[in-house]
Amino acid sequence: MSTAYALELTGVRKVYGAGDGAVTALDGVSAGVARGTFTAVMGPSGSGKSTFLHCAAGLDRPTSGQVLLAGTEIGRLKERELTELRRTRIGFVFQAYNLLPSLNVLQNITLPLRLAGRKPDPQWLREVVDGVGIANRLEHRPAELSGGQQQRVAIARALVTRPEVVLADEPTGALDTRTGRQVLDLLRAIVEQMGQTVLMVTHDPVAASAAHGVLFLADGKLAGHLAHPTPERVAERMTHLGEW
Amino acid sequence: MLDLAWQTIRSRLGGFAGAFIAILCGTALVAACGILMESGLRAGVPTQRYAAAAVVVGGAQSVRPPGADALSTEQVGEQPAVPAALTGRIAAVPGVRAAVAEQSFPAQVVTRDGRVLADRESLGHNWDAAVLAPFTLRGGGAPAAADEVVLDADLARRADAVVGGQVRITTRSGPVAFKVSGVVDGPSRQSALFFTPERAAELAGRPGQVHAIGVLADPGVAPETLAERVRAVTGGAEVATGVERSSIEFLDVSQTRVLLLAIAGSFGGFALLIAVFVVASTLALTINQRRREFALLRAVAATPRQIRKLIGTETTLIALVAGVLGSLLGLAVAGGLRDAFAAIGVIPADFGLAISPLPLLAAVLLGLGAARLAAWAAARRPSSIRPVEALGEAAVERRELGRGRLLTGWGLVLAGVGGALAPLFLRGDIAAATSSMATLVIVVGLAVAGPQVTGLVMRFLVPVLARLWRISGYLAGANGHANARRVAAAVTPLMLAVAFALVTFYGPMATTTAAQQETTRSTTADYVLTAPGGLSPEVAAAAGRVPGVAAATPVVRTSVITATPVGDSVEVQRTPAQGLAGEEAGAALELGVDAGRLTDLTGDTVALSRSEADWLDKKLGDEVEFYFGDGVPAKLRLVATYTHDLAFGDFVLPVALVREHIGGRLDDSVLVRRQPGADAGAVASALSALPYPGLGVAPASVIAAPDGGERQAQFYLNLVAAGVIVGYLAISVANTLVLTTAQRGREFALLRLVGTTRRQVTRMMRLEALATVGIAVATGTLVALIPLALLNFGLRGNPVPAGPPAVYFGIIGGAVLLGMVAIGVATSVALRARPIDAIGLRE
Repeated sequence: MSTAYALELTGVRKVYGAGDGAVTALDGVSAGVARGTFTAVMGPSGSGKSTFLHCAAGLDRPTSGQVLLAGTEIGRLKERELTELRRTRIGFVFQAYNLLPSLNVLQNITLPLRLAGRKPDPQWLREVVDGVGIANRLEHRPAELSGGQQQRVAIARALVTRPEVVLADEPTGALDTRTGRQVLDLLRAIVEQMGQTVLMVTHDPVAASAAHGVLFLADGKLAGHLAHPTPERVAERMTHLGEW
Repeated sequence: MLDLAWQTIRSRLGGFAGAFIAILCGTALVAACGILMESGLRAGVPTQRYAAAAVVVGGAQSVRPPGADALSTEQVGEQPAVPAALTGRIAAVPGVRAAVAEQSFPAQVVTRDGRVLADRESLGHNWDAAVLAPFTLRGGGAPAAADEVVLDADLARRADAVVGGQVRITTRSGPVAFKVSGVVDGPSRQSALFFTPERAAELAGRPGQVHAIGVLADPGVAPETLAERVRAVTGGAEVATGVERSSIEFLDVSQTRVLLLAIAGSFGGFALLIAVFVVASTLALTINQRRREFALLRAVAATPRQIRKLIGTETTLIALVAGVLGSLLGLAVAGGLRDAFAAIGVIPADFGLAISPLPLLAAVLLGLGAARLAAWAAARRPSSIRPVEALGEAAVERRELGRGRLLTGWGLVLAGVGGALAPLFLRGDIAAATSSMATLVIVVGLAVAGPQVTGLVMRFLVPVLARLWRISGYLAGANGHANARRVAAAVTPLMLAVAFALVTFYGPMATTTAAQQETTRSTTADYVLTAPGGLSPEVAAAAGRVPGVAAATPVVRTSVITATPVGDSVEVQRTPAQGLAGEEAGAALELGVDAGRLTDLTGDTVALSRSEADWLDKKLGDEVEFYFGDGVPAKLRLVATYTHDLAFGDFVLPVALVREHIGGRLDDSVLVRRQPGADAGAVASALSALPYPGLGVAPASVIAAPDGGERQAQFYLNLVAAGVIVGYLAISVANTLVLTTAQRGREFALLRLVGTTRRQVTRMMRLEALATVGIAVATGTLVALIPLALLNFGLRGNPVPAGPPAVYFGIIGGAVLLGMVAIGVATSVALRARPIDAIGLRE
């Protein structure tokens, strides 16, 4: 628990299918995400960034290699243990379809706790709800919220269990620039004010520039790293990715 | 988990409608069957003639051969008798005020214009038994002489008889004049005539035996206690109190109770099984639609067990509500079933139902259990969904079915086809039963291999459809081909329903028609004589003496009970039998005798069908053991075997012997054969002129096959059962079609945005509907046709199934209507939204 890295991948390979139809999504990726940082993973389509996220979250098992979450190797865990891991130590935000349509906002937020059979800490819950700015819509159903509001609820749900790391898969992909900006600022805020660690996958240079650092993926391999990104530098890096 | 389940149900009411209805109907049926079963046990028709008798002793109502276990008994088919000597022993039992023996025999009044009053069962009794009801004198006095009779008031009124006047009464002999000495008031389910005890004993014709012994109790003695004491001295006779007294009184009531128990038991079990199937498939559909939801839950860290628990809880909630409503509905269904059975004639019209909360509670619990079972089966797939699916669009299904599933499916189909060949080698009811089993196996096999079959057919249909309708047909074909699983989900229950309905209707038709044809072929007589209520044995003799008549044989239709050792236990069965006069029968009937001679059929002898003789392993001259229709054991010598068993049943006995074991009933008919060259008209009028009231002379071609009544009742029962099953399957089909169509809203929106007109989309769906229904109807017909054709060929020599073609078209029409309406409605609802909105919509 006292490692500097919240998430560490070592030589991770992921191959889908077999024989002639085999697709190598990740080809020996080694990377570390330090605690209390906001890291973006960028790359063109087919670069393996979604697979990267899935392996990091324990949603998919790598074909070879090691994934360490706060020091625990998750490749060895059984399905049940992985599930419990997802409840307590990982928070997840998807691009779309994040919320159960039958539940209201508050129920969606407290869902992981309820699944774990734990009661929410009222103060932390209050803090999270105020932090994402959704306190006035707690009784509403997802269908009654805008896209941006839904993402904020998703982020709140990801935070409610005080995870080691929050993983976000294109969280601004379905939002307009203004709302997207708000979500990115929120993600940045939870890192700087609450001390969370956030790993975000995106293809948008503007979104990537909200992070502290950017990892570039191309054709399943790590293709570079950029600290203190700006949109222009990220975009330039992206254009030259194939040449590395 | 509970409120999560509750929330889901509240927001997705439509999706659960199918499961709700299936559980509702299933519980209603099970509750109704439970009520019928309880009625079979406890209720019925209240006793009438024995109302004043605390305990009634009668002949054993069922036969339980040595070696048979408690469940293998068989109801007697005729009124059993009780030895008269028991009366003295019973009278000596403490607590008995009096023991009165009752004679009961057919006795009908003949009106002045020659009409026989037999619309109600009309029985004669000895006068001292009147005290058991009691019948009370309204006018006149008890019969004192052998030619005096007392009538019940209703009968007297209908016969226009007055005290002191004359009536003509027919019994086992021809009509005889009696003087009416009195009129009584009393229960009127049957008509009652009272004679002096001596005359009654003479008219009953069973020396030493009585129908029942009624026991009047000392004041203060409880009936059950008295029954115990009486049981101790009566040996194997039936001792009844309370509502069971009517079983001894009315033969049809006693048979009804057993029948109800059997029907209700198997019916209810069947309904429950089908309910599990339908609920599982409707649930599987909703669950499949909620795939993304479950994947999200898995991603947010619900364990597979929690997902299964969620589905289980949702199902339990629905099952509780549907179950309670269903079992209340079951009360109405029980009443309806009772009326339906009474209309068919399977139970007496005044059979009452016993209603208690026990069957209702049992139905709710059983419905709950069935729903949980279905939920467990349906929940196994979503609980193993990989969370990654939440992030993807897995809308097109995997292409191949597992090898194991394919092998199983086709293996079953082959096995079924093999079974369908049975009628070529077996005969009679076994052939029919094997045939319907085989159909079921084929259907199950096709259901298992369903998607592959549908895919294959679709592949042929695609170019045809595309040719005929350039756009709609092309789309429809492509859809069906790519989503064969979805199409198969709708085709399978519809095919099942069609095949099932066809076999249930046309299967028994084959046997009935074959029996009828064989009967007609086997009857060489020219005339058949009948009368309402039966014919006196004297009629056959009188007909035989008419000039121009070559032979006249009486025919008595009864049943016998066989006990065959099967493995460790004994199988007891009641089978139809006929009583014929050996010498004359050969002239009027063609039994296809293949060994021995029918003229030897006198005294203690029997003739068996060839298949029965082989089954029992008996040769000519061997002794055959079985039980007569009234439960008395028989040991008779085999003198002949014959082959026309469809027309005559498996047992033919000498009529004189049979008459002693039919509870005093009269002959069913007399068959008369003219001498060649005799004047047809003269013979016919001479026969009509026989002095027997109500005698009808008809050409022998109108003879019905034996057992026509019971087969008919069995047939209607099967229809009711099939109706239930088909109804269930219809629910499943409708649910499947509606849900799968509704979920394709986005697809329709896409089509419309890309340039397909609304009409083309509607036509595409209509074509898909036609294709789906068409495949189901075609496979269903084919599946039913193979066993039916084989059965008809084996039984009748003609592979074209017997029966009205109108029913076939009705079944097909119903299936087509169901499919088109379900898809049509769902499509128009799905097309209502503006395409640009619909394309953004999630489920």
